[in-house]
Amino acid sequence: MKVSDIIMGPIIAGIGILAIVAASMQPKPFFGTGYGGGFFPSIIGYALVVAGGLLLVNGWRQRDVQPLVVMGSWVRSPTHMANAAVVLGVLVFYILFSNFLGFVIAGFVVVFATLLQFTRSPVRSLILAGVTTLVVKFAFQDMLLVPLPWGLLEPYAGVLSWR
Amino acid sequence: MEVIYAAFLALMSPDVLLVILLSSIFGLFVGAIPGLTATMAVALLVPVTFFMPPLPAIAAIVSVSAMAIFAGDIPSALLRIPGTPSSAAYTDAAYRLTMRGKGELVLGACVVTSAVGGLVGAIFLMFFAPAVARFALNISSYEYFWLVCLGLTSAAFIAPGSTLKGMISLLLGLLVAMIGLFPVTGQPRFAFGSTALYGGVGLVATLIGMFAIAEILRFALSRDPLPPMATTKIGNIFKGLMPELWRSRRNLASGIVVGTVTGPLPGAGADIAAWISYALARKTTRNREEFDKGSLEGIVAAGGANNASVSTSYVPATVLGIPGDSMTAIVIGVLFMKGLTPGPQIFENQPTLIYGIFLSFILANLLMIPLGYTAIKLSRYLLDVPRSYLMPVILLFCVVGAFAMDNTLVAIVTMLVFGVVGWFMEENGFPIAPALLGIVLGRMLEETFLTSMIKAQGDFLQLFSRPIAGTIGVITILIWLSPLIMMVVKRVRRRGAVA
Repeated sequence: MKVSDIIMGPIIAGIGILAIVAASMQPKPFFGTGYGGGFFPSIIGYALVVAGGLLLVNGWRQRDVQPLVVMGSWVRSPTHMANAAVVLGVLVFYILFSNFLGFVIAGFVVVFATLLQFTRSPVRSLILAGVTTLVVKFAFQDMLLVPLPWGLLEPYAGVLSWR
Repeated sequence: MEVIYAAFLALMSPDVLLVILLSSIFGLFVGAIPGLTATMAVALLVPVTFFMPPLPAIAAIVSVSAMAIFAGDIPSALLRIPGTPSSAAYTDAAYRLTMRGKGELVLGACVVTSAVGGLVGAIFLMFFAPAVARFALNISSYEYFWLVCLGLTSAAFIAPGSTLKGMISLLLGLLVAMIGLFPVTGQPRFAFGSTALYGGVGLVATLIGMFAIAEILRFALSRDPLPPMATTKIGNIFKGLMPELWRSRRNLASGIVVGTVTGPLPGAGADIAAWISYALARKTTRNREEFDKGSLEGIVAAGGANNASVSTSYVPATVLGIPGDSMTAIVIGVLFMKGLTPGPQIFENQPTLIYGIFLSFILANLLMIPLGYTAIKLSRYLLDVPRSYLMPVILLFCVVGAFAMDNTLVAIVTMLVFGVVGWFMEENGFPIAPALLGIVLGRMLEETFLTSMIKAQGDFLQLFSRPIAGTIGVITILIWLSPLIMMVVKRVRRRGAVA
């Protein structure tokens, strides 16, 4: 998805303005140099406003050859749009439900759903998702002692641990 | 010498050797698969290194980066797709030679020149870095401030594509670095009331997002099928190689020199070293026509250059704590996570560790010949691994990797956000590396500035008061003004031409 500089310029400048406003809300320095927490962010903010302005000028110069928005060829393919939606969707799913479901179940869903979408092969997806989840669980939870959430499987934590 | 011997012994312990071997295999695998970059390999490895002592952790990153940069040559020669961006300079030449039945020769040249380039770079690093460190011990916050400025400026200016977009990428990275507690007063800044953001945005989650999730998204949306392999049968890659390399010895030497010199320059990574040395080989060739049809001269020069620059890029990273590219930025992040502050003092405080890191380069480059040979032999299977199966598996590694650093779901949210941002930036020609350097160096930039201002009692001109600081300061400002100067020069010339 290519967005013209005519649109990107004001977005960048807008981020700069937000940075300047937020920097101005920082408390003023009460000792030392006179350079407080807002000093650097405001410089970055001003630089972003200038850079955004230059980008806008660039975009305006190329307005005849550069359309405002060019979507990738994926936009005409429901499969590819679904691919990206599944990748983003499983990540949101994991963020929302991993504490409740636990890593093993949520992680399995993440891999299985993505594999199924990418390969359309339910049996292989099921096997590979199972193996991947177990390998990752063993490596990170049992070997590296990362406290991955148990969730629904909490009562079976003792049985499912290798340590 | 005693320190080097102690470092050698530390490196030779079985657990460190095992880590180097496994991470080398991982690096070869990731580097050889098109679409998975060397930086992605390093980003995916960081959560695992978090649980290791410092030496194996950095040795793992060293091995992965060296191997992945070489392994990028395999799909270049066989599929005409560079495995990593640093192979892009000679992809066409390598593929053309493969199509003419010289695939074995090309791959043999790639593995040998990569190893030789990496080794020379590592030796340069071992002898040059301590000298720079001795010099760096005398520099103050003024010089540090300007060095960081110069590093960031070069990163933005040298980045591929538009300079303006490189600058914007850098500024956005710096803005992200401002999130967290203000170092002087400890007041929260841009944290939006979330205590999770008081410590700043997680570097590893950001890395994984920008380099791995963005790549998975790109794969998910890509409609380009992989081209068929140029050759499926690879015989003895060393057959007839030595006479060919001897014929191109000047190119190899100049490539290694270019790589060695380019590596420590801020902002210039392995990709730029490869492009410069390839262009140099083209300029100095006796038969330009033959060169353009695909010749070993350019491949030898650029293959040696990119690995040499990987080694020497550790000079500013270890001596000054200033990364030159995205991979050394990650190394600095890992050193900080281990409670080690990269800088000249590290040579006095942790000599065994630092020489261990340097020696690991030599070991990794020596290992490159047998492991690289095996990878080339297995390339048929390696390149056949379907990405549609690989990407979902990597996705789960990303989730767990991001979580493992802080044990919080905020890291996964960060990863997701930066994944989408990274994908969008790349789609629109904003380079990622300056943003990453901005995130890593933003705090250092602000802290060195504030320290300098406290010392100078707020007098900005004091930043130019010392000779080295003043010189670097003027150079940096000249680089900032260079687009303006170029514009004025162009106008004057145009007017002259009209008159």
